[in-house]
Amino acid sequence: MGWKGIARYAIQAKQDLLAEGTGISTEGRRRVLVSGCRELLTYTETLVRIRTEDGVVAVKGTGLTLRAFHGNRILAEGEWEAIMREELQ
Amino acid sequence: MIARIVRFFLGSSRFVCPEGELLGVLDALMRAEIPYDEMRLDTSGYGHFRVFLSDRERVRAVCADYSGLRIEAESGLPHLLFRYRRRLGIPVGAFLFGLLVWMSSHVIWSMDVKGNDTVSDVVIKENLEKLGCGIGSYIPNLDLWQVCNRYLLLNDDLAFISVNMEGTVAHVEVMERQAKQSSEWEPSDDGAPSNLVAARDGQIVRYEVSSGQASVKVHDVVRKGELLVSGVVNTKKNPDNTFRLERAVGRVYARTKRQISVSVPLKQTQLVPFREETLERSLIFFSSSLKVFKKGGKIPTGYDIITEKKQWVLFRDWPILSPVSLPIFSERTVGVYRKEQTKTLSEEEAKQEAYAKLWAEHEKVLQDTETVRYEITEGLSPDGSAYEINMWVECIENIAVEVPIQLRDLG
Repeated sequence: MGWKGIARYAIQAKQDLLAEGTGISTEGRRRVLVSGCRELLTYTETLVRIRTEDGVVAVKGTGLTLRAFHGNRILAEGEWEAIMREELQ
Repeated sequence: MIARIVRFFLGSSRFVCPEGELLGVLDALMRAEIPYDEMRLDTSGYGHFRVFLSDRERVRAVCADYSGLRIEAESGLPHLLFRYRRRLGIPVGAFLFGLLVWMSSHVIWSMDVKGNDTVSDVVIKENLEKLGCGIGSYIPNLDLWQVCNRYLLLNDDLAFISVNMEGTVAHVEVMERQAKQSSEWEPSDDGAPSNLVAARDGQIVRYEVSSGQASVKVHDVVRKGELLVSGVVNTKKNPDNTFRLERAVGRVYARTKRQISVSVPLKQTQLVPFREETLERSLIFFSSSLKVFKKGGKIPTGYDIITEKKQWVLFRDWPILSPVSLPIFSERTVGVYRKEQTKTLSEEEAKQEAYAKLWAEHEKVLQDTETVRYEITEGLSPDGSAYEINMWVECIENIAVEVPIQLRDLG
């Protein structure tokens, strides 16, 4: 494993540590962090639906963007109004 | 910050795709667990995101169905290296930069000498260099204590030397050895019996005797070598028959006359540079010398070889910044052919030169005396070939010099 591999391993290890299980956290009214993401079901500026290990998480709002994705965690930015959970059918 | 540095070293690729394909692309990335960041939508309906350079081909593979996806830009160190792979100057520059950074903390860049008066900086630096402490020396290998000790053992010119490192600058502090005072008579050892005798003719003005017995009085006229203060002192108890020996200590001031004569010939022969040829040019970087020019052929006879060494200084004449000496020297060796040339001085020029010589001589000869009066006679010599000045100085000075008493002289 070269230095590049070591660096990636370190980043990945940290991400894995943070991404244990499904979780939702918010930061003010602009950011929503969803862990345990598996599939992106819907992505528009007003609605984002993500399938996670435990079900579907829906974020409603305006000007939503999926800013980043790391280690099964997705960061949505925008003016969110509601965060909902839907049970898997 | 750390993430940015890591990303720079790993490199990154920026992709762009139409908004219609964005859901599919991001979903594919999520399924393949390919991280991305800095995702944004622009006003013209395109989505932009960034992935690690190493994931570029994986992105292409998992998003092969999305024809609108394309690479927008690439950045980071791998990209820079690839882009400038054919430019030799970059690795050479990087190597030189690394070398300079290393040298800036491990090698002596400059050296300054303080405290010397008669021994020149060049001599001290050359002697230190012979002991392995010079510009370009590797600092961790230097044992400055040993260098200073060995310097004092091998050279007699200094009484003390200390080399202190401040970063990469070596500050050399020295104390010169005091030259032994030359005298017509050798002074006696401490405490050994001695007399004080007159160093020159004169009339006694005053005297101060702290040990010994004065043999002269004020207004006495003495000749050179005459006894002034005797170290043979009669005892108080039996002054006629017994005496003791002691070291005579004191000062005897007398009115003396001195003559200073100088002569400047009107016709002078001097050697003037007639022809100059550059024989060699070198660039010295730390202690490594690189010849940049060398004249072929033999050096003609009659040429003086002169080597000029100049240190490069940054901001030499800048108004605000202080000069920074670099460990780079340019050395030039020139051959100078000198020709004899006769120069004729006017009387006025000869007079000026003669007076300059006279006052220099006056300062040298009469530095510890008090001048009472002086007379000057000047003019051209009888044959008119030189300008002469004679100066008679009447002064008051200490004429006592110590002479040891040889015990065998007493019988």
